[in-house]
Amino acid sequence: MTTSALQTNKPLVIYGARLIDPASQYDGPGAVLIENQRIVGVSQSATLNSKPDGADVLDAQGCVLAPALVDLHTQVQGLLGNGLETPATLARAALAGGVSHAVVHPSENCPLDTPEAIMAFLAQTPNDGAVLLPAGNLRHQDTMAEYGLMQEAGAALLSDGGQVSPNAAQRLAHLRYAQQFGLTVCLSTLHPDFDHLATAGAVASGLGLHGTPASVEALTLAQQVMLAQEARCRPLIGPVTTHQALETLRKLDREAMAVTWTPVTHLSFNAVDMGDLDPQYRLCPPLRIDDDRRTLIEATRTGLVPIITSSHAPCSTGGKLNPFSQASIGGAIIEDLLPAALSLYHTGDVELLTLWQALSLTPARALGIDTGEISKGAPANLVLVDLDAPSVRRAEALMSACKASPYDGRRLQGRLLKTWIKGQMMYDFEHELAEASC
Amino acid sequence: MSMTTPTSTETTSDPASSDLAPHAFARRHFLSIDQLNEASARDLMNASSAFADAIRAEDDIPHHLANARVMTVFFENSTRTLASFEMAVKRLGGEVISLPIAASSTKKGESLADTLKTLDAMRPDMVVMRHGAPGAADLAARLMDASVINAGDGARGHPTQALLDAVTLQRTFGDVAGLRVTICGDIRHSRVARSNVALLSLLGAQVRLCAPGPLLPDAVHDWGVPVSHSFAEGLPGSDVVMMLRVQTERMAGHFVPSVREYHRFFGLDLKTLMEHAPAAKVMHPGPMNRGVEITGSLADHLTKSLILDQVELGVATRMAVLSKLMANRVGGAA
Repeated sequence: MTTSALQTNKPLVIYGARLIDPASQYDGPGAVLIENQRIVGVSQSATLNSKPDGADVLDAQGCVLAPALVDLHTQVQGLLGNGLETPATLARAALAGGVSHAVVHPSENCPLDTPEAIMAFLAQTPNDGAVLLPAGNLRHQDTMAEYGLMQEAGAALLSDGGQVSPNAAQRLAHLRYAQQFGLTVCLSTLHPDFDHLATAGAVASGLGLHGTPASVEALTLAQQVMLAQEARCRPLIGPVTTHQALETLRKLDREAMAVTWTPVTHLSFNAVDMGDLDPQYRLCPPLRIDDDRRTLIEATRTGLVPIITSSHAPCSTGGKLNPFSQASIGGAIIEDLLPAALSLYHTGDVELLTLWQALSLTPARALGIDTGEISKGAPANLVLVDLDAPSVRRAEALMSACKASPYDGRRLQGRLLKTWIKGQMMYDFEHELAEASC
Repeated sequence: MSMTTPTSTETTSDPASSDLAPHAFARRHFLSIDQLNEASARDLMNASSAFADAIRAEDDIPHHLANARVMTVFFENSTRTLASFEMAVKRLGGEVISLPIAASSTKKGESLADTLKTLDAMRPDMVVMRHGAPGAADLAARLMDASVINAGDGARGHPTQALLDAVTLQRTFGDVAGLRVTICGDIRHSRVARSNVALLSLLGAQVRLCAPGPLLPDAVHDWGVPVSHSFAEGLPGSDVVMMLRVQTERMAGHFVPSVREYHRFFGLDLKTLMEHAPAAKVMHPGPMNRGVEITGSLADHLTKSLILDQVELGVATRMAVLSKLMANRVGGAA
């Protein structure tokens, strides 16, 4: 995409929209005026009373205008490389998913465990994509990483990258040290002693897959929360995907309550989707039983789990051409995050405002970044969405370098039309369509 | 349970003629027992039994695989299954190409998908595949034009073994429905157990499991079959005791403490069998660990053991499956 073709410095009026603003809990007709990267006017009617001379005007025709998404959990495959998901490819894929900010966690091939690694990451982040926030690794090899220096280098937060240290005393020391820098810490619920190939249960045992008990997630969650409480920090903890973990959350002292998140895939799919051992459904954590999925949707509705993530975990397409147990884990999800989450609205399970709160405002506030709302003075990070447009998701058509997704071939309802970051239109569906047809 | 003469329940001039039965198995690949319903399972069993009769009678067997090329691709070691498939292909007039996997490209780092696509480009009609990973045969079916027969994929399934076990039971007892079959041993890691539980339950048998706790699958209580942890509890009333092999590396303290303790509590000998299930027959899919899960004298017992019947009927069963898939292939099955 040549985003320069979409960008202009002129003021922009968007009118005729259905405005969704979780910060003010407003869901109704509205219009906004954008100027100098910010929202400078908001109207709760279909039109603005006045518009500056020379402003561009966009008739939103009843589409939803809402804050762009903030994705708390993504990964890349490396900083450079043909065919791999890099900061450059992820930043552009994020735009196609309506994501203005994405936290990139450490991964095997991009460990983000030194200040130099953080600087190298940021050097590869393009200006014409979404804002990528690198999470510094809590560990450098087997020792504590340089949290202070990584923060100076640009680490937005710290993360264990899904690799929980088996040494709880070490984890407590890490949290205490991180706390002194005021850094948000993201902790995983993946127990280090299990392989997380499948969830123990009738489906896994019937398929001959070694299963990890679902209750292990609650075990790890409780331990992480307690250690964080001991270190007097309030971490982001996830993924939360089981009813046992939700039950643990309900029992926690409000003071100890961590901010938790769940991957959108676990709101969409259950273990039965693994029934024909299709490697597209090899995810981490593994898919759960449908009771878990239903309970998780309810927890999203009530805000017990307040954040939905893509948990975009790119892998090689060839890695999916293996038997299930040997297949690559994960997939490209960030472009499917919004339509997949919208299916909860279309089924009547979760209201649109609640959904957008979980996709934008709450993760923004958890990270302490200025986005996620439509108010005068707020950065103009916005998306325009046709709620009802149906689409058949095609992994091969993704902008992500990874062409594997559990949503491949699925019919979803809701299409992202445009993404603005700081007032600049960075993604336009019709423009993409025209380029593709050329 | 009365004994019957081991003959076919259906006599036809062409053992595979039940292809035309209204509920015949109509798939392009044979990957899992889940693909069968009771009628299609019985149809395959009857065809198997008819092939067995024809082989015993030294009748001419129609060459259903004439001009067909069948590849055997075994990523795990096998003696009886591999030989059984090769024998079945040759009896049906087909050509068999066995891939020497130890010298194949997969040992040089080629991915499984590339290996499968390469083999498929040679245009085999069918591929018989064994692999250590659950779902490997499903992957092959997705990638290959050839018809794929699952000869074992990890602990997920071994459908032709279950079929031949059912044929053995049908020919021994007259019918599988109503039989009380107790499966003993390493059920957790056993593809044979999974396929047998599925098929024997489908055919109306009462299946029970007997094993030490760590060798039972997760969520075994969701399988809907009774579970016990001793022969005293599990064997009484059994018509058949199906013993499973326990790999010695699993008896080093992780699943059971030692070979001698396993043999003491879960090794079956004639005396224990006569004490708890005196009328029962014994089966074993092989290979056996004599002196571990079963004693040699019981395995070789002339009236109690059905183990060699299983081997013999394995060829006939695989002939039935190969014939059926070839017919489906010609008929354009999906």
